[in-house]
Amino acid sequence: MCDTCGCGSEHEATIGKSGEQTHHHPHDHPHQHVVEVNKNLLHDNDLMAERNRGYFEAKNILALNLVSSPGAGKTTLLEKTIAVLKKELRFYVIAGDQQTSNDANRIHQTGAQVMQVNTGMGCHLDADMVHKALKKLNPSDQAMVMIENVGNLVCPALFDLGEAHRIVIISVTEGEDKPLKYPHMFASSHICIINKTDLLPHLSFNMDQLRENLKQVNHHLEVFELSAQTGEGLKPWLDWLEYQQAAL
Amino acid sequence: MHELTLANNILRIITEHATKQKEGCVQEVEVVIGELSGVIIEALKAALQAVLRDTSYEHTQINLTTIKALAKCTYCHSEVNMDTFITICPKCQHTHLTIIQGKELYVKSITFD
Repeated sequence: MCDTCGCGSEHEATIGKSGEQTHHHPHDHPHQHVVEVNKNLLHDNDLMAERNRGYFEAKNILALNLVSSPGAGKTTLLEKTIAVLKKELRFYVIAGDQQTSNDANRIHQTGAQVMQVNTGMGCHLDADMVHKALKKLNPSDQAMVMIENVGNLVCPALFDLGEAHRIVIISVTEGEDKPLKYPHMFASSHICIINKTDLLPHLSFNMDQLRENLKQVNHHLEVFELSAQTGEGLKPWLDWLEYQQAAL
Repeated sequence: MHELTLANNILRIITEHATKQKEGCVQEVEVVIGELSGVIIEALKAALQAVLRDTSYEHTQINLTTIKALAKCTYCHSEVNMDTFITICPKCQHTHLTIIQGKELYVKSITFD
């Protein structure tokens, strides 16, 4: 029996798997009508993300969303990247952490303009936070906006910020199976940076296995292997950035 | 993850549409959840119960329909059921699959009385 209106029905009214069988059963009750909604549950965030995206496109800004687990090297990578490219490109950084302005202070030392967003109990940046930060930063045309997301390999995967590319950073100290354990993040990213390659001589780390795992989760990923600390392998990443900005 | 946020968003969508609909009560809401959306159904049910309690929609039937994950093999173009993100094409054994279904997360319809 249908829980909604008491009519006889073979189909259960609550949770069901789709497939051949449609979940929704028809009601022959003229007083009822069904309104098709088709609204994404993250509609508000996605709408703001598209506003951000439009803003970036209008100003020819390359916006990148850097995600990783805590300690993978996002801030160090940004410091080194800005130090080399700031003569050619103008950088603005939005740094997300639960607490402190430590990352913003480090970026500030590079000369780039930076806005720290403290999420408190929050575990990710969302499009509205980025929107508000952009209003304060007021980046110039043809700039680079680097969004350093909260260190977290789970939640940021769900939230579009309006970026052109999502960059997932993994360090060689994290284990070859990281992409398999956190597939949503790696599947939703465009670029993967494997960081801290300078530590490889001290680790029993199987780089081929990591590369294979990355391909399994997302065969579209473009991969850079580098050490932000020593600068080894940095050039291809810097070249990619310059190319992406020029291509806008 | 963030099932409470999603439950609040479902409530917001229901309220928005109920306000536009000048007459009638919300009887039933259908929500579509893809297997790869990252949502835990039981957590969403619990969150919905908490969020709808003491609102006009406390007794509204919320139907959560799951959509199976499907991918297409970029080599042989077969459609493949995905149990996890990491799946091998059973026809040609390649791992280059593109997800074509399973990430859905939306309110499909609202039934008014």
